[in-house]
Amino acid sequence: MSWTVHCAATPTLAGLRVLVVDDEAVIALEIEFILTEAGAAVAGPAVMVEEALDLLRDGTAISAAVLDVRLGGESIETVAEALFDRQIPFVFYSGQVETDSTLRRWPRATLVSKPAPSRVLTEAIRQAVDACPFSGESADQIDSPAPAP
Amino acid sequence: MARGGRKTPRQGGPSRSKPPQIVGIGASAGGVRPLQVFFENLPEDLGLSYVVILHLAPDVRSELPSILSARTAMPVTTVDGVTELEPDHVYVISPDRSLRISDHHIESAPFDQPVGKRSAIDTFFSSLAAAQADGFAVLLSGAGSDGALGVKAVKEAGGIVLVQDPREAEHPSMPNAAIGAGMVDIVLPVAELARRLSELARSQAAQISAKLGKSDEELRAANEELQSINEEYRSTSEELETSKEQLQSVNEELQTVNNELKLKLEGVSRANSDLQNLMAATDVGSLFLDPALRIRRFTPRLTDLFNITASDEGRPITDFTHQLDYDGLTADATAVLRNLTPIEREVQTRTHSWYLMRLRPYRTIDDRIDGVVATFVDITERRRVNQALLDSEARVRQETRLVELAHTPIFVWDLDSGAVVQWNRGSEELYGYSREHAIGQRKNLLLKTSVPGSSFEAVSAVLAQNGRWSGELLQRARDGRELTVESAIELVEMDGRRFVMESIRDITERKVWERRQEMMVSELSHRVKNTLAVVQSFVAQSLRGAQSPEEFTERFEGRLAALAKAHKLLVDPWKGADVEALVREQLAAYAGPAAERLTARGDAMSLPADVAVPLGLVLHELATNAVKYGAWSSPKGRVELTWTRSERHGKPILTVTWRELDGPLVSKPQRTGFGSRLISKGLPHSRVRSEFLSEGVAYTIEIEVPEGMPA
Repeated sequence: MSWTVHCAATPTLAGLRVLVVDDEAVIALEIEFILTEAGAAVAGPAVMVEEALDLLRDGTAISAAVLDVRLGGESIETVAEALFDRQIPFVFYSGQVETDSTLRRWPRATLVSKPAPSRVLTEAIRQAVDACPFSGESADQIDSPAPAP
Repeated sequence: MARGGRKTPRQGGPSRSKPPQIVGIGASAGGVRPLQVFFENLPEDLGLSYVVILHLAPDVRSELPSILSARTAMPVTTVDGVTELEPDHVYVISPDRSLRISDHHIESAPFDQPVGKRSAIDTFFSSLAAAQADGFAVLLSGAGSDGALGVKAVKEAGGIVLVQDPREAEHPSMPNAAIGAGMVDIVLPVAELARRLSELARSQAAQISAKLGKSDEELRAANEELQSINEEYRSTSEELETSKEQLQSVNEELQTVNNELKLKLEGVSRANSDLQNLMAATDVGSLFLDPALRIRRFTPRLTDLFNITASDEGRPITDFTHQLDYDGLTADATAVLRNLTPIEREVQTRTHSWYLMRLRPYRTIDDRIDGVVATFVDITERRRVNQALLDSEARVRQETRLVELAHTPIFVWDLDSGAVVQWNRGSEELYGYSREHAIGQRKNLLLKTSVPGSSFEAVSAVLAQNGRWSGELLQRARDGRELTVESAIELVEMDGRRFVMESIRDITERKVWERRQEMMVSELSHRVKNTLAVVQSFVAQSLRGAQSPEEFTERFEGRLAALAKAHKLLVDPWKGADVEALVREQLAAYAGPAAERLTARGDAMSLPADVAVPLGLVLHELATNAVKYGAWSSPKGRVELTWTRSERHGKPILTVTWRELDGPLVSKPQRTGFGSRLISKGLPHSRVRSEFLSEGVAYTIEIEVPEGMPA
């Protein structure tokens, strides 16, 4: 058996700055690696909600986000809302099932189920960015959160 | 005598040549009254001779002539010996004599037959038939059949037969016998008979009157004679009238008394029969004792208890054995006779039957005490039923008490009004409402009940159809706690009311656990997926830096083992992992048996999973770095590991210091690999400081341990 590492042709995320939020450091590091490989710059990874919100507030231009749903005891909810406010597209990368109450509030955000091959994650980010080129004028096209229950 | 006074008959008279037509009148029992009526209604001038044949007592003087004289003006004569018949005369038979007619005479003679077989009426009627072809026979009330043969003879001879209507007769058998013989011309009530006779006589007389010569002399003489006779009778009549009236009243009195006696006798006889039947039929053993306690009378049922027979009447009751478990009969009976108050006892027999015995004084109708009456009523069944009832009442009381005391909530409410009628201790405990508070309240309002996923209407429908329902209800206790309960209810109808018996199981806590379990399953699923993602990351990271499959395997297996060790301490996710245990698990393999290669000490502290797992991985990376490049790569190198617990802003802080000593000279690496990044970023809420000192590398890791977790 020959030992060859195949690097699949991943969709390029070149030029994008992607926020990574995951409280599991090993996973966060892996996402960071995958995104870096795909040509993106990474903001974070943030392991806490507050940390993520700080990164959004400091004015750094962010083109997309990969979010875990739960961070320890916290919910990603406020981060998702902040991203929505800023018209930044995001995907969920989580072990949660679809019936989770947070996921139900964002039905049109892609859920990438953990664990997923790196290509699936980068494609999901690419599609989210392409489907929703958040220009200020086209706010109508973006996913709007379902009303809170 | 009101009707007297006429001296001479107006028409007809005695004729020597032609004897007068004779009217034979037969009567017996009940005959006096019709005779009186007959003569009252009969004209006195028909020119007929009347012969009255009445059955009379042989040895009593007859008052009949005087009785009849009171009703007719015609002379009434008792025939004694031979008498010549005259028209418009009444002849009465003498007691104990028979009468016959021969030629112009009537003759009285002793009876040939003995009393009882005499038939005076037949005898006379037969002689009448022989003497005259145109005689009259009149038959009135009487018992027996005397006269039936006589009227036949008269009829056959050519005479006329008149009979009293049997319906009027006090004793109809004589008239009936004559009618039965078929020899009767006229049947009428007595008064009518008399009138009919007069009509017949007048029409016959009219035919023969022309033939009759009349002699005034003769008439006058006869008249005077008659007058004297009449005077005589009148005086006699006056006398007899009085005695007759007296006798009649006496007779009436006697009859009344007789009737009364007869009635009384019947009553006594009936009472006696009733008594006999009552004694025989009664189910009650009764014993009548005289004052000396001798048996006077008893009912058949008494023989069940006393060994006596009918022939024992008159013997003292004390002579006999009995089945009763009771020896006080003599004493009690004596006491009843002395005190005249009844005594009642329930006595048992040797065969375990029970009798209610009553002793009471025997009172005669005139309220004299004449003994004792003892009655024995079998009450075995009544006692058994009574006992069963008492037992069942006791059982119901026990069961009711059990329900009252049970810790299981049980209550009863009225389906139609909703009002609570029973409320046990379990209900008090669960809902916090006392029995006094709950009873009378409407159950659904009191407990603010709702039916999750259904409605009261649906529950009521099921209840009405099946008589029972069970399912989950939401209720509220008095203190506002929401309760989830499992209710089992059953409908019971009692006296036209519909009651609901409801027993409750509080499953509130179970529901909480069920929800927690759901959460745990979801958490577990999440963790498994996360762990798989971590493993996936290990694979990718281990592969990236590896020069060979062996190196990949070594790295990957090391990380996987570190992860497993960290988890090993977290079998109970709600309990933390002790820092020292974590250190030992992760570093034992590297430190080896020589304790001097690793000095590890610190404060006792427990870490939650969120911290323990990454800390385990970080320790693993530190150790592998030390083995590859650091202290543990040289034989003398060693590691000092310390940890302290402190607080900042009230939050627990764990500070871990990893210091390598006596190892090779190290420098800061050019490129940070996965291991280094894991060390610096692998722990959430932490700050990692690394120093590359000449004696070896040193890391200070400051971790903020999340609140609410075991620390």
